[in-house]
Amino acid sequence: MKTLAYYTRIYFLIVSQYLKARMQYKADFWISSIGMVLQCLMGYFTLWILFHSIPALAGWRYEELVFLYAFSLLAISPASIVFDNVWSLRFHIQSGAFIRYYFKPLNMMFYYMSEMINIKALTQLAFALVILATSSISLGVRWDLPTVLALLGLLVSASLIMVGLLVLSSSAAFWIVNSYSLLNFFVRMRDYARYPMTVFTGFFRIVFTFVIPIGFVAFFPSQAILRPAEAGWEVWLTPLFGAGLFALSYLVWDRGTKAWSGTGS
Amino acid sequence: MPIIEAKGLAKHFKVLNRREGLGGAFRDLFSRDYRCVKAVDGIDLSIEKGEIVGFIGPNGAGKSTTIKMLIGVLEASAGTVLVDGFVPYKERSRYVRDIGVVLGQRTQLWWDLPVIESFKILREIYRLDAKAYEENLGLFKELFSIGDLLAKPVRNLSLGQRMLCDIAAAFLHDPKIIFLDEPTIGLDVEVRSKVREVVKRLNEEKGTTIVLTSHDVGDIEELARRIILIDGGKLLYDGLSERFLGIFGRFRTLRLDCRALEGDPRERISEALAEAFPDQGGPALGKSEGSWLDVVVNQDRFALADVLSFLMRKFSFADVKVEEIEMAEVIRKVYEGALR
Amino acid sequence: MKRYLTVFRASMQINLAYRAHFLFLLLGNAVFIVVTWFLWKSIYAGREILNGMSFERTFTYLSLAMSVFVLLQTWVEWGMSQRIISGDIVIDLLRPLDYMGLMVSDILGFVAGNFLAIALPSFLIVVFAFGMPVPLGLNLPLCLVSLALSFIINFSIDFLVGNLGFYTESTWGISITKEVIVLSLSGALVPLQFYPEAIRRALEWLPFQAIYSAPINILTDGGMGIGAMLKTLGAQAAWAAVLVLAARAAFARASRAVTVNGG
Repeated sequence: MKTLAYYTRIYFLIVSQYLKARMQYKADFWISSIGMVLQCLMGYFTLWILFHSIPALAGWRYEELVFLYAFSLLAISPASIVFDNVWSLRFHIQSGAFIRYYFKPLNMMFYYMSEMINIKALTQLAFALVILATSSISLGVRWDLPTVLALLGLLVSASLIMVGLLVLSSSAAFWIVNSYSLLNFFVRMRDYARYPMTVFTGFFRIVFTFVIPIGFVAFFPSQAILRPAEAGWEVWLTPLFGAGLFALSYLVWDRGTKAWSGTGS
Repeated sequence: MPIIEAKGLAKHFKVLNRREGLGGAFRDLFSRDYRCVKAVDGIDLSIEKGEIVGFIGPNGAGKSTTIKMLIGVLEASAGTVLVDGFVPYKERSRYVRDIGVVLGQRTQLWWDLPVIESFKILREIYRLDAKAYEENLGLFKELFSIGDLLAKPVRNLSLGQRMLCDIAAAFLHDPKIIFLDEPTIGLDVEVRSKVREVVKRLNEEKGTTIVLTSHDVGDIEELARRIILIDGGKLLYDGLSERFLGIFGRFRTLRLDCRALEGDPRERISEALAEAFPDQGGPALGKSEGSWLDVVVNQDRFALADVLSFLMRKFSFADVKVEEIEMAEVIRKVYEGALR
Repeated sequence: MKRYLTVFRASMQINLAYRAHFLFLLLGNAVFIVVTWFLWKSIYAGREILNGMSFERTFTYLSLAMSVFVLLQTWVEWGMSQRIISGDIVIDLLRPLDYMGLMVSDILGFVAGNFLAIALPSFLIVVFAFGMPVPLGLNLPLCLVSLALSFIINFSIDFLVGNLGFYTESTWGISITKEVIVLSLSGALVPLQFYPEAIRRALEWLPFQAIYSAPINILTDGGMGIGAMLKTLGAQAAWAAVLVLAARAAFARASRAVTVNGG
């Protein structure tokens, strides 16, 4: 009986042990966290510098863009923290070490992802929460129950999109040897989620909304919260894209595990 | 009712024929040319509960592919396979609950964690009740003497220690079948014998069916009552290991270091042997590797000392070693009809 | 002559195997250029000049800067780190070859591939698809010289950072910190003209903008005379010399610990 409780218990056990083991590497923890903070600050600093020269970007003010940036980081966090092991996938596949994941009565994606959590991404999460809080205070966002629920719902959907894209782009490793470039491509796309979709027009607007759906990761959700009057039908597509992309990525992953073992090493 | 049953088991692979040259590389972009490789070509198996069966055979000749189909990692192209009542590939997650797998080269424990923590996680995964878990743990501590190892992280263990822990981990949930793939590879003599002892005891105590693959004749000798030889995707021998080893166990390989001899000494040595031991099945040349040349001797027919002293009188070898017969030689002799 | 053809053919075959790899890197860069165009069009919002830079100039600069970044991205510090962690570095140190030189020749082919597959097409996209004006003359070959110097500067920085791998296993942290510093301080994400005057002046004393602005200015600045170009190249060469020496010194010091203590 594979219940949610069963998987939660196992995940908790594996992760707590992993954290205990990693805590021995104190220097690595600090250096990684500092690196992460610097990366976040760079994004923040870029915005800050820019707004010394302009009053608004596509009609969006500074605090709104900070909110947008924060939301995009929050949406990336679950993928970064929980699914980070995908970056090692191509090494495990090439060396054949991946075979061990077939032998336990556990869902293979769960088992593989549970092997590590990305501790430094927690720093990113903390940073994002802080600037989300400060920008929403500056903007006077009223956190009543409907708004909070909307935020959470949209965050979950956006996170699913991010997870889906991450798993999809890393699953190429099951078929192609040098698949790093696809993951690299995805990471670069991910960085654009912090910009308002209104800067794009025409063909590219469609591409970034429907083909590489980064618009749904931060912009449309933020628009729904900050400028509800402007928000259109796109907001309602966010959960659909989230669920759909995640489901697709799981299917591709599953096919990948069957395909790889089929070539037998 | 056998616990493992396979009929006409086959596995075909589509292999890409890479075309040569620059033009070929371009053509490969547009049309792909495949050939069909029969890695496993119609194998029948029937293994009863509690047996220890040794699978032997050269690498890349269908042995590992067959095992993978039994474990459920590969889907059979043709034929049927039923293990423990399951079709392994179709119901992986449920099927895997009752088997254990030990891979010689890789650990299944969590690398950074102390061994005992890995066991605790396994206890959760297999939903073991406290009593069964503690009993097994006690048994392993006693059998394997791993009591002091339990607190160490897996990465700090030696290869032998890690192998023992991996075996313990595989038996922890009292599986019905255990697949051991090259369990003694890279281990020194003492640990190798410990591993064999442990596996034998656990098979006796728990009645676990054991499917063993190994290149080591010693593993087969000590553990497997039954041997299955797979080569070229086909089953060449399925019977008592005693009989099999009886034929081949009496063979010894003389390894001769020929670096002091002029030119290519193989023909001269071969002629000399044919002259001195003219009967059929006399000492014959085996493989040569670098400056070493193998001579295979059947001790049932010729005294090893006689052959050795003859050769050493005729030729001055830099060094001499005596070893068991090699698997590749065994295969060759099977094809030559040694089993008939 | 026939031998060179054979080698060329063989390396082309290898390149075809990596076609997917280069395709995605190029695609990634192309998308960046498109996003940059849209983003900065919005930032300019119809204005002619911002901080003394026209939209065309800003767009060209940022697109080419990112192309240079991708061109020079060799992950040398990662390679070094892995070999240090695995202990294989000892093998490299025992060889009678110069380690730094070895690394350079190793990745030079890779960078050449990057140039042909990513940097050059990106440049062509900027010039032809977006119609950005680029003068044609002596600036083209001098730009290539400048890029070579940029490579040396960038590689030396990466190599210097890679030496930290002798002191800590935290490769990601070091690498990302280096990337953040290089990108921010070289004006590759936001042109330096947008920074406050004081910071800008301070940054001009650092080698980072010598990696990006030097080759780009030589290539695109129509108003730059030969004299000015040579001066820029001279400044780059100076930085290159300093950093190469620093990198070698750091490596000698760090690796000595390994050879003395034995891994």
